[in-house]
Amino acid sequence: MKNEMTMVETDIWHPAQQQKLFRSLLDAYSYPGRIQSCAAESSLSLLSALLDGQTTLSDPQDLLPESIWPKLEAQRVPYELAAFILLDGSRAPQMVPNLGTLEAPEHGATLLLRVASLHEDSAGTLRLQLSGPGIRQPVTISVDGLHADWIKARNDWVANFPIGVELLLCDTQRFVALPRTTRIVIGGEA
Amino acid sequence: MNAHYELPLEDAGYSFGFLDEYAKKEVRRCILKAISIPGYQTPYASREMPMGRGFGTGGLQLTLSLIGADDTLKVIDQGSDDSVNAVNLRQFVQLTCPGVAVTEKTQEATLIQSRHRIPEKMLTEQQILVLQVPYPDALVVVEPSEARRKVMHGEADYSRLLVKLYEDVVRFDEITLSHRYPTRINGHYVIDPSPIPRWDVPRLHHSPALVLLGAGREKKIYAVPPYTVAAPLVFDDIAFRVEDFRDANGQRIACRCCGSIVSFLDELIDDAGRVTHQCSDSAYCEEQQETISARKQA
Repeated sequence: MKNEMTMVETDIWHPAQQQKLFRSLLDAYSYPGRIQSCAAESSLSLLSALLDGQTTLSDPQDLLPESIWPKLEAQRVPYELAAFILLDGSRAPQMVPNLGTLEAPEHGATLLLRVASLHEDSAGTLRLQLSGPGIRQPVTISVDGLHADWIKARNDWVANFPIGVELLLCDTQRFVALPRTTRIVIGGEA
Repeated sequence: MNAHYELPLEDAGYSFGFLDEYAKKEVRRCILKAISIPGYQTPYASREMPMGRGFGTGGLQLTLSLIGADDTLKVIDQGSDDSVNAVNLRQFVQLTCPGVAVTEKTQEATLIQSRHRIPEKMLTEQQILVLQVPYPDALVVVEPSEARRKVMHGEADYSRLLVKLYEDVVRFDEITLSHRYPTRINGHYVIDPSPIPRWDVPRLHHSPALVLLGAGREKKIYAVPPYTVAAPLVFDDIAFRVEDFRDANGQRIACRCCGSIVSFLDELIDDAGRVTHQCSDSAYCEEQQETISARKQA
């Protein structure tokens, strides 16, 4: 039997590597606010682990090189229809993504926002206090290179649970997940 | 296409984890949505598995989508590592996931697939519990239409379920559900927590470990994220209570093997026709026995 797990360590297209990435994602979603590491560029690594031909991606700011699209296999669709959206976090939000419906809240989009850097403490410019499921005690993380309007807009989008969106903040090699259940207060204490 | 082409022998086997990568990715995306919407039954395309639906295919698909070569797996069925369902599933994972370690000790496992029990030992943040689910929707007893149930879930409208529980109270002076007790997750969705006994329901509340529930036949995945409120559905004046293991004299019955008076017990009839009790969690019971014999030797 073929044992794919014994092969290549940092190839993000390899199933073994994607399994590892998924487990990091699982930890990130289970314990929001805990910053996870990737072996390679984080937003692309996450897309490679999550996407296939069955799902949709929007890249309105053309952040992805054209050569990556065939590898991701995802269907290219407009912003408001996409299940996954890749965006530059330093630019303010322009449009409302798909928030799902009361009967099918899982259709709410997952936004991957590229930011400059993530900090486990208050060292970054935008401080975020997090609480909610998966967080035992409220924690504060901070982010450089994220437009504060993203968090304000996101808080509006998730106000009517169960509809909402998930955010994945990605710096160069690390990421943090903010599911719709996480309560985010801008400027929280350390 | 060349009809006579045969894959090289090395490539002819199944890929790691039996499921193809597309199937795993779909399950993985659903798991992440299930965690993001605690208690929501996320639909997914449940695959055909080489075993009948109803034998844990939902749990198995979750396990196979999660597992990596560095995982240690424990599989239990009604608390036992040695019953047929557990042994079959464990052997299947060993066959299709080379390199994965298996264990019977709860504390050694990183991934625990279970049918109808949560291990006695407190789970940790390093562990994931996968529960096999036969009937995922707690509302199915009061509303036959799935479309209508989805609306009720979305609106968190559980009044008819409460009426059902109230009818129990009127007839029997107590809610008579022994297992599959409807449990509200994070103040919104009510889940069927799979046929775990009432004993296990409080252990979903603020569990340090992620709990994933998979229903293969019904094609649903849902989750109880760590540190999340999981409250059994009750009335203000009627409290939720777990199984009572006291005898006629009010004494807590002890396990006949390890003497534990804090575990969930199975009722057995021994060869002489007497009713005896034994821990349902076999790994916990064995560990207790080992501790006792080590203490005796010391």
